[in-house]
Amino acid sequence: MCPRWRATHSFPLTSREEARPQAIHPRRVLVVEDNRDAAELLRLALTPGGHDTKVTHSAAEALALLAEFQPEVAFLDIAMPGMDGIELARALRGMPALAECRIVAITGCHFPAQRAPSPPLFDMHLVKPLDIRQLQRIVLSLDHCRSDS
Amino acid sequence: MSKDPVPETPSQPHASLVLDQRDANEQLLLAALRAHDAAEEAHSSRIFAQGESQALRRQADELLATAAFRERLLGIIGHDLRNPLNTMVVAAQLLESKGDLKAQDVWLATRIVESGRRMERMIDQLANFTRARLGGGFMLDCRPCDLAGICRDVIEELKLTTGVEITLTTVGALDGNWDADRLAEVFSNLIGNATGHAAPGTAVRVTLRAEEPGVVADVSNEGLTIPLDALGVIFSAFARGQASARAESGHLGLGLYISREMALAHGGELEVQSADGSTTFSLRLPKSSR
Repeated sequence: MCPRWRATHSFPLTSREEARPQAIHPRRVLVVEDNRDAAELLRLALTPGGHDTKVTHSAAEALALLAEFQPEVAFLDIAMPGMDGIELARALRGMPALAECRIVAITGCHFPAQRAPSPPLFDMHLVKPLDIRQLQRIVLSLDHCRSDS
Repeated sequence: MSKDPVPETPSQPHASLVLDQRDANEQLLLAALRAHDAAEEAHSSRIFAQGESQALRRQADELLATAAFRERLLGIIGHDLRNPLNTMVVAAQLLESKGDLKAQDVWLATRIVESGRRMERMIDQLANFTRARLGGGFMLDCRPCDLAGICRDVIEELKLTTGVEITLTTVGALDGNWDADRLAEVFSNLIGNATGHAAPGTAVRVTLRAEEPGVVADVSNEGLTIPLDALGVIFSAFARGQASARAESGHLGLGLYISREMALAHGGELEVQSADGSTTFSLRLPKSSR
């Protein structure tokens, strides 16, 4: 048994109570996940928040989308064929338009050495299987992150 | 033309020349034999060396095969199993939270989520076991941290799933340079076990104290005394008894083995004492792991 949600970096998550939506502020959310089921489930998990969620299945697709869509938070699967989530995060970090974007890594493993590189590349790591409340909380907590920085 | 008479005197040199020639032939033959022997020797030592290098190569191949096998196995455990599990758990969570389900349907969805979580714990254990057993070891990510904080978080999480009371006592400075995630796994395992074996109405006691050269953490519960023969193998892999109990709890009988490996990786120790209906696991950690 191990703690379910191990953020390797203190992403300023709000507590469950604080995160309970008073008035939902829709966010621009990018999901990059090559597993189509997992990608679609992420979209469904974020729908109740009314977020503008764009789902892509590869890094290349995501990069093509960025000309017209600047996400406020991006969920990147790490193990993807071709350009992987780590390379994609590097590319995103190099874009001035995304300076404020929170980047969350999604991995299939919890070994430190195989975890995606820590900040500044990723603000947080999630390990599969995911918890949808956790995902929703991350998007809802963006306001608090802003006021912190 | 008459031949010159063979002079008396040169007969000596001539004879000696013949002798020399014979000698030389002999020398040559011996040299050739020696060369042959040497060539033989060289050949056989080359064969030997070839054999040696083949053996070395075989060993290297075996090592590589083990490493490749380990990585493959970890890949299966890490990704191949977790992806479908992720689909299962997330889909069931979405069902659970739909809001328009009958109570019984919510109950069904929750069963899927719970089972998925149990499976996740087993996958974690398998991955850890593979690391520990097939080499590679645990890669520790040590940073300054506070043992009391780690313990408190674990206890908070466990309290959500157990009705057993858990008390925490701390004495002295409990900070050190450790891998907080790994230690959380150790405590989660030790305290989880203790609550599982605590006699009804008794509390699990967790005591953390500074003790040179580091810290000692005791996790105690009241209940059945562990028999001596079971104590002897309690830290072995797959040591824990009944298969039914394992399946039920979502543990593979690897928890204590992994916990001890994690303690050792930190340069620490994990020991157990059980007598008079009281069992205590003691984790000793140096302030800084190497």
